[in-house]
Amino acid sequence: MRRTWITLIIFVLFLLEGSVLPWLLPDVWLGRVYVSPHFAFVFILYVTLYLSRHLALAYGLGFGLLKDIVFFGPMIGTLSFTMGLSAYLIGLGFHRPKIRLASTLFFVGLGLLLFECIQYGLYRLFNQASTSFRWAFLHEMLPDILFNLLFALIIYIPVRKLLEKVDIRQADPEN
Amino acid sequence: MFKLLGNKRLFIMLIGLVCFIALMGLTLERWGVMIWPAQFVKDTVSWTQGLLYRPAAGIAGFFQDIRDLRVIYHENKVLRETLSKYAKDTARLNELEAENRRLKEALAFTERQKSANNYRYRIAKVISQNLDPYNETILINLGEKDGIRENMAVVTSDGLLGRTTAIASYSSSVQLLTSLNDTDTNTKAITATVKGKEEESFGIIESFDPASGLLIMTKIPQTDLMQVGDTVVTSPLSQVFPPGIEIGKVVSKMVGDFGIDYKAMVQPFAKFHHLHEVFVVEVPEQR
Repeated sequence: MRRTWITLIIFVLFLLEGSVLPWLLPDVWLGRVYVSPHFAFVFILYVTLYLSRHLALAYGLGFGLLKDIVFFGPMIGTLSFTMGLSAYLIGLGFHRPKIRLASTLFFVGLGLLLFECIQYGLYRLFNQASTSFRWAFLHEMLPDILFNLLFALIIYIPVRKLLEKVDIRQADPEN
Repeated sequence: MFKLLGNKRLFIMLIGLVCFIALMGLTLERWGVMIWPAQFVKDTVSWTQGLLYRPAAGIAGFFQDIRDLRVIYHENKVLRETLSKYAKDTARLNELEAENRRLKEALAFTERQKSANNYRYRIAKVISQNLDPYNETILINLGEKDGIRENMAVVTSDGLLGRTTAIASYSSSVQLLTSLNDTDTNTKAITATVKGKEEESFGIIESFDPASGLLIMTKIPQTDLMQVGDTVVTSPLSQVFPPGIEIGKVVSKMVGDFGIDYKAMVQPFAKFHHLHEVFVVEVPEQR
């Protein structure tokens, strides 16, 4: 039952990313500061830290593919791969249900950094990104990570309360 | 780390990597009308996003309106002046159109030739926007069922915005000009010229420089009369876009990378964010 709720929350966050957030970002930022909301992914990172990496992998692959299909940029599969893999790797290395705020934010930031780097690498591989890594890191990845970390901070307490209620064994049979 | 990645896990990850790279390679810029499951997903999700986008736009617009109150008075004055100019232009346009029609009759144009310039501007509502820097896309609420095809020009009242890419039944993606880049071999460059000097001027817009926010126009001949401040429009030579759509203003012109041609930086007219409505330009069937 709780899992349905988690799926629903991620779906709503996914919808907000594309529809409401472009209007909340201030006018002066647009076109100068490259910020893109990855709220669904931030939530998936919480899932991988507190619940299980397999569930997070499934969510990452699924919602990544959904975003790929709905917007259909240069190719299909980049976001699916990136979200799935980085959520899984973070869960593999740092799955700790009892960690505090600071370390949670650190790992979420690490996950976002991994996400951005893999994404840049894939687009670079397929000749879709013309900017140098240095420029992209300073102007695209860094603002992105900070912006999404701010969101992670905002939702920290409610998410923690919600995810603590979920029975881990029910969420993932392998743990 | 090697202990973490056991044999089985590593194997599955590599298989996944290979599958995904293959998927990306196969779908790379294969736009057009999508297959039906993808169409269904896209239509459903984008419809739901549309439910949220419009109220958000409304609320944001309300605060914008309050901020704009001071500007409005001045803007009104300017608009009034433009309106009087517009009335003058319309009279002239009618006259010229009548003359054009008469001349076409005199030269015995066929029906097809006559309708070649009959562009239809279809208004479309924006449903959602993806802000990813490598994939700046908006979704609009017109699709295959409304006659939208791949590579149609999408404009706003300010100027050229982009082109349609992936089409579902009731929604489609629009790739913005900001995603143009010349490292991509499949990219569709835009042939452009200068307003008022359509015959003497030529250039190709093939990339966007995210650092300066300007479009880069290359392959301008040395004899070209283009000057800083000129308005860049789509060229009649273009096979993708109808001619005469305003793109931007030339802000600088310099010698190109190899010294045999010129390149110019173009400030786009259209703004790429906070969009309500856009127009899709439907070109009449040729041939």
